[in-house]
Amino acid sequence: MLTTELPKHLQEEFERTAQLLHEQDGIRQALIEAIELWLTQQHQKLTQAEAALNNQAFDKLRSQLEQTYPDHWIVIANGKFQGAANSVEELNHVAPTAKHRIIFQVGQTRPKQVELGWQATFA
Amino acid sequence: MASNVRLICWTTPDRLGISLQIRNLTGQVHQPTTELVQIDTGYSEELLIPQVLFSALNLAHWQLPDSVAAQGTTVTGQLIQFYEAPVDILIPEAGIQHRVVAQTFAQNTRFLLGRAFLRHFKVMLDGPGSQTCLLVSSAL
Repeated sequence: MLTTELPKHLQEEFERTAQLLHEQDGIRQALIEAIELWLTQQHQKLTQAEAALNNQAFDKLRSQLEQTYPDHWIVIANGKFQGAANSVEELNHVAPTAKHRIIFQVGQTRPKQVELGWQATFA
Repeated sequence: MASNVRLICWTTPDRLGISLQIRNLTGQVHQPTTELVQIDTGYSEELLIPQVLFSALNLAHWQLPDSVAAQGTTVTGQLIQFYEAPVDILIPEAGIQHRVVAQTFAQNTRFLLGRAFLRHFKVMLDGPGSQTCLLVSSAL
């Protein structure tokens, strides 16, 4: 059981709006939705922070990886090189608790120019 | 060696579409049954998925580096960073499993197959029959 006190003006507006939208069981339902939304937002922030760290590490290590692991799949998580393998599936178990990992086949190139026909050409 | 060609068809009035599932590399499918996904020949790559699907399949766990993934600029100068990750496209009715790099970008809601996908398959638009067919050949 969690108990906390909200600022009065926030509590009054929250109760009023929750009852309007959900009627029965309104406050409980509104709290569940609010917590789910908050958790999603925090999860995204944590993932973005890990992604930034992993991309920095990849850019720093790239030339070294190209010399040491040509054609191998490599994984970077928690801002560090975590391992290399012959197939991407072999890396599935590496850093399982990380929210973001970089997976890359060393030497792989991707098209830089993407056309999205309904809107514009992205180059 | 002779070959036998089968037609696998889906009802798709006035457009091209293929019924499929997307599977991440640990075997999680995007939904229990197939979904009709539109083929858009204006899109140059293989598979564009909604950002929420990218998250639901936890594709941040197999994400390609930003410096390798495609980037773009709109006509208004807005920078677009694509997020990319390998996935499997499953077409159960044809027994097809095809590895592609799925793309998305922030706020994207479009779910499309593009021209790079078509380079791997024979697809027929049957206008009078209001259907799209996949031609699958099997050696006899």
